[in-house]
Amino acid sequence: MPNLSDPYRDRYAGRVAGMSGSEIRALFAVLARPEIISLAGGNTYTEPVVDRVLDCAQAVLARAGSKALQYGAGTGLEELRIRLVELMALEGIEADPHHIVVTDGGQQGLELLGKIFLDPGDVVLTEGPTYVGALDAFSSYQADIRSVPMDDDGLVPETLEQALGALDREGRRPKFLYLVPTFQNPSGVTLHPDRRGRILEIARRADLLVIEDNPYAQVRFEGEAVTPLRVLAPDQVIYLGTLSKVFSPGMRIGWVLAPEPVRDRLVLAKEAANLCSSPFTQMVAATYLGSGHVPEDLELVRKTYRERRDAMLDGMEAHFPRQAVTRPPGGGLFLWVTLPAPLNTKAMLAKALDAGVAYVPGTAFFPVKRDGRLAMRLNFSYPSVDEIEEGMRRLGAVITEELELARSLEG
Amino acid sequence: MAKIAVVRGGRSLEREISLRSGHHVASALRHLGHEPHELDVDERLTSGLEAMDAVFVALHGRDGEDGTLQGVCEALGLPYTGSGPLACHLSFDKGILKGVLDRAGIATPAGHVVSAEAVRRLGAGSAVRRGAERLGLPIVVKPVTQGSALGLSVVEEPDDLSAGVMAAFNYADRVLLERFVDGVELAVSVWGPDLEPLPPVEIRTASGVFDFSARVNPGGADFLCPAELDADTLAAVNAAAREACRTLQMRDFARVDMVVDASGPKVLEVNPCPGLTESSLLPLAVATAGHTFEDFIRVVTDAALARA
Repeated sequence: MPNLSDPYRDRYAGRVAGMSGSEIRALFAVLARPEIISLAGGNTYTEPVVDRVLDCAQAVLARAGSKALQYGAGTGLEELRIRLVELMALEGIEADPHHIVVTDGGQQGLELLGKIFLDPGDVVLTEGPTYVGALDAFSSYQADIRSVPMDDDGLVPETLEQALGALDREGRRPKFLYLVPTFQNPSGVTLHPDRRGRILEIARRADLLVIEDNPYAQVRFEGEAVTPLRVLAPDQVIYLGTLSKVFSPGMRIGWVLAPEPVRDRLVLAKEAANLCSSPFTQMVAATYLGSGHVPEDLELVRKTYRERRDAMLDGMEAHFPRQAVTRPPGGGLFLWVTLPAPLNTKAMLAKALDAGVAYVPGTAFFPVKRDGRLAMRLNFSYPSVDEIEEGMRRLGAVITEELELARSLEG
Repeated sequence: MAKIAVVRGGRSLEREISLRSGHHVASALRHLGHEPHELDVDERLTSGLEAMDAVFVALHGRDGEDGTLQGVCEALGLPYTGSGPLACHLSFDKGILKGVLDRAGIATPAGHVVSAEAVRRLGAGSAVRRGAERLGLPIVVKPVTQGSALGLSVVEEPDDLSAGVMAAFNYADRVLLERFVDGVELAVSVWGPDLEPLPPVEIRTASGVFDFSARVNPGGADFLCPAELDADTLAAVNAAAREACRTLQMRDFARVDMVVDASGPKVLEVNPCPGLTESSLLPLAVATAGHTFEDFIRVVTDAALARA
């Protein structure tokens, strides 16, 4: 009997079974329609840097000529790594350019860390919820991902201890703890400064490696900067950075800052993956970072995000039922909204798309897809204030109607 | 050679599948020597159609399978592929479809339709629970108008009923509660002037439910074609597919989804514009019958052009 669904099905590696998520992607095909306001993506405000990129690209080609269009080193260009060290120094991180591997966005950093650290079945601890791209990267290496709940101040140290204790009783030792400690995606939560030392102390006692993913700290528009984990424990933390939020996601520049032995393995993995990141875009990025324009451009980005976040909070106040709650983030790109039971944001997405507004259901951010059904992630960095106002009006109407119907059904 | 509009994409949640269907159809039309124009649904669509010789409807769900686009073509006097507006109307609404099939004596699982309006204004929440009880759990809950099994769930426990009904209400204002039939899931496509059945495709899923997730996630379902059926069952399945399509006055091609248990086939859905992607069920059946996809597109397109 022929099996016609996929003639290649018996040839795939076991790890493809862990790759999923086609469901939401298929529904999001309608996002291409002009009538839909998307609060779903993670795009950033790149208008301020368009002309800069044009200038930098011209300067790079005039200076480097055809060398800009050749292969480069797997580690990344030294001129860029030096600039990245300067950028990290703004947050107090002391780093050696030699300890940096440039990657294609932060996402490739996650992928390479999965590649060098994870065997099938290895346990990885994350915040719950956590960044969906990290879940995708680690599950493609068949990791057993366990999420540790957060509260308004981030990962709860006691809960982390309990999770480690439970794993210890199972005879399991996690490979690493993955954290987005500042303006976390999706929750917007920042790990409280008082907790940072405790989390690192718990990790140190458990001999647990910590991966700090820090894309959003530079897009803070309120409050005081918080010291990165890497500053508190340089030997214990592998640090992931990206230019996606401070420059452009489309340039695909990220990096991993790691102790030398780990860096050496990452370079091998990077070369096997794609030889090197584009030297041309690395040169453009390095030129931009050295241009002196970064502070003023970032200030405009921060001002814009604050206005857009405020518009989103106003829209929530005006149009969402009172039981819907969020924690207003002082930075980052996202609002994480929790709706009252018995709503299911994954099921409700169809109605929202029909009403002309899109969001990402909370279930996408948990390894176990039953979790997060009451939550949704809303993006305020990309849509304009007008689009946010209209999008929140549409979404509020959908939620209100859904809640009324659910109550009538139960009644 | 004819200028043929391939209408695909659209506003429905099956947009992605429709874009792939449309692309597949357009490349077949090109191989056949026609001039295909892939068009999306927007306010310029009708004026775009007026310059064409015919329309190939590759639009799933809303606008494409509910008779909307077919009505526009009728008004323009433009030949189009597939069934007419009435057949589309009758099959698009699963509640109406069930009634039409019942009257014609074609077996379909028992079911009740409840509207959101009744739940809101008539206190019909209790009718949902009573209706489910009368059918006996497990039941299948689905929106009356939606393709690709979007919003479909199998409710096994009373506590899960509300969540299943709420999920279905996200896709339509009316929900069908249907008796769950534990059997072999089949898709039987028909084509040509006599609505000739193609070899049935059997659908096997890991979860036991051919829902949207199983449809779009690679590896979510296995399709076996031809399905392993004894001669009597095959004859009954083919007769049910053909009879359902004749009753509805389907034209050119259609796909009938059914489930077969010990008492025979029961029709679940009739799709006037089923998926036509490279990995869709109808093209698999066409290939199993020994035809190329171009053969299929030629027969369907020629039939439409002959109606000009």
